[in-house]
Amino acid sequence: MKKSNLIRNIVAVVVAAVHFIPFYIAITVALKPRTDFSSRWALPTEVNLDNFAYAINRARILDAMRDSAIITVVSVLLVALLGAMAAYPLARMKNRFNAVILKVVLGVMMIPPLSMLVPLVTLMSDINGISTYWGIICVLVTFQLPLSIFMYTNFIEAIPRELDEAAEIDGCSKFMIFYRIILPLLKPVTATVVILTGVFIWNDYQFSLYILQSPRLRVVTLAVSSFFGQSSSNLGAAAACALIAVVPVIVVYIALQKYFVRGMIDSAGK
Amino acid sequence: MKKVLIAVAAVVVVAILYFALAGGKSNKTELTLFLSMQATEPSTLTFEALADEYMKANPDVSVEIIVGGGDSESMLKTKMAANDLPDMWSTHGWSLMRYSEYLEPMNSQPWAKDVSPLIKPAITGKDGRFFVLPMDVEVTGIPCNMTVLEKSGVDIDDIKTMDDFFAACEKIKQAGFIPIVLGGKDIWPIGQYMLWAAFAELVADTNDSETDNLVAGRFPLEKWVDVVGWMHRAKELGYFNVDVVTSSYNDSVQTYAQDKAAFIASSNYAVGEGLTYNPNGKFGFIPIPAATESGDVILMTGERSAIGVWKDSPRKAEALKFINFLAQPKNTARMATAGSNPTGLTNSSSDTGMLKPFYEKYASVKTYPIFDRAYLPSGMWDTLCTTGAAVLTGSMTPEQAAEKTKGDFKKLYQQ
Repeated sequence: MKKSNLIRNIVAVVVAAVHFIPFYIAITVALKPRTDFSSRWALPTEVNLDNFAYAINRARILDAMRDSAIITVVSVLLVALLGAMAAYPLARMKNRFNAVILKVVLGVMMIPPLSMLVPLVTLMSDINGISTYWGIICVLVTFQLPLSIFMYTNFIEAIPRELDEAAEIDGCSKFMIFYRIILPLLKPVTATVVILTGVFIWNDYQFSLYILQSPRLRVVTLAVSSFFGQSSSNLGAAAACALIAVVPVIVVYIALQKYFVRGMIDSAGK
Repeated sequence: MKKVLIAVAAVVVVAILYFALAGGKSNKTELTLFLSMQATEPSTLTFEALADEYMKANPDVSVEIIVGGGDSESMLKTKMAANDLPDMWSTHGWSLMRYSEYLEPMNSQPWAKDVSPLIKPAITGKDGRFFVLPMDVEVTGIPCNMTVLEKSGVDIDDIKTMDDFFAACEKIKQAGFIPIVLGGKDIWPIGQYMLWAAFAELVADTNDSETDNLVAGRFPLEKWVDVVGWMHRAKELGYFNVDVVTSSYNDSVQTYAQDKAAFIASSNYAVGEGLTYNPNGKFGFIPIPAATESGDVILMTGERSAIGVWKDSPRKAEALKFINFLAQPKNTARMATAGSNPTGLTNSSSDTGMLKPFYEKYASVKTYPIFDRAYLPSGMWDTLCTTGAAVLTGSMTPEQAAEKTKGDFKKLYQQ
């Protein structure tokens, strides 16, 4: 092995090890009973699965994962689809009105979401959107759309206009141009949008905390947080809960890794 | 591409249909009870068991328990601002000062006459109204580890003044233990220690009490320097754990439970927590000492499992029926036993477990409502915690901390 490769591999192993540390600590904490005072770095002497039972029975983490999956999939689909559709005219029709719209979209991204929490909760309560799938999806899609529109707009601007013109000459309507010509070219940026919004929505805590209040509808972050109280907490159960919750994300990411990496590289090159 | 689009459209349509159908409501009256506790606490489990029993006896009612966890306060504040509150919620010590304008008065309930004198002053307003069912009462002093005290040769009956307390701390330190463990990362344990000092300096000596001045908006600056001084002195003398600023409350309970520390900056619920880590531990509590020999030791009382009903709830009548079910003697006894606390109603009694001999020993000790909630304007708790933290980190002297507290006191008192 070349010396440079050796160094590279050593650095890669060290970086991977550093990234693995939180998981390692979570595993050791989750497998120990509360009465075990050994260091969090030490492996348990015997495997204790009580914390996992708590995570499944008390926090109902499996139900939470189902709810999180439904909310994430539908939200990401809507963010990608609506974002691309909104971005197309903004990128193609360069006029003063669209420039203002794009600036407004960018401006919305700058507003801290929690600064409008009270009116948001009031509105959602008034329209009976509290503790409903559609309520939380509306909120999450609304807050993720500006980023998606911004990214799609930049990407579409880089696609040659001649493609649209050629399609128009062949008799395509504006909608057909978008769906048949432009949309298939958006795969790279879509991968980026899916990763960014998907991870954000799966990990969302702040909106879910206020919008989802019924225990019948809860997401993974709320399930994990249910083990932290004001005057007491159960770290082992919370760690077990977090470990279970992270599994699908890891599986999806590993399974689709090559698409995501390619998408991000293509997107960056555009 | 077409197939992909059709698939996407199909997923969206199916999802929308699913949500539309899933949103169907049952014919039951659905009550919500919001708890500021975590999911595995004995009190939470008892509330869930009681709700299950109620639903079995009343099949047309469902009681949904929401476990608010660590963000309960901010969640309830947001919901108050949005005027969209749960039907019932646990008021965690704030039934009067923060929540009373949103809560239904409980004076006309059948159990109102049975409210324990231990908790009545803490939950009753100037107009005589109170707003919660106190299922149990938190009667608390300074939680201690009896094994550590025994090994250090400290007799808790000798601790009457803060000087006695510090002398005991010195003995404990010399014996190789941590005198006071405090998880300052979570900041509220710092406030808890400040409460002890405030009680000692400003309340314990009835002839020199500052409570009337505080209630009237007069801040005793010089005495407050002494209050903060107890924090400063303990730090300078090395009576706290070395990681006092960076360790969490959870860490401090583990240290306490492992027989490494004598006292913990917390309330008596640290005893129950400690037992979950070390079921063989020997724990107890002492009353808060007085600053001077002319003062008396005292205990604090406050709400623990206290439930109020939203006055504008569309299901208020059903919620009050559930509250009356919770107020049955066997139910309050069960809840109080779960938390090893005395019951909040005089018509029932609880098994306070390991703390029973301590409650008996201190039965004649005078009790006061929790200091900041009774004598300081709303919002001062944060000041107590942050100025205490500043003194611990050395970024403020006791004089500066007292000045800052005075400033906040004046500002908040006028609001």
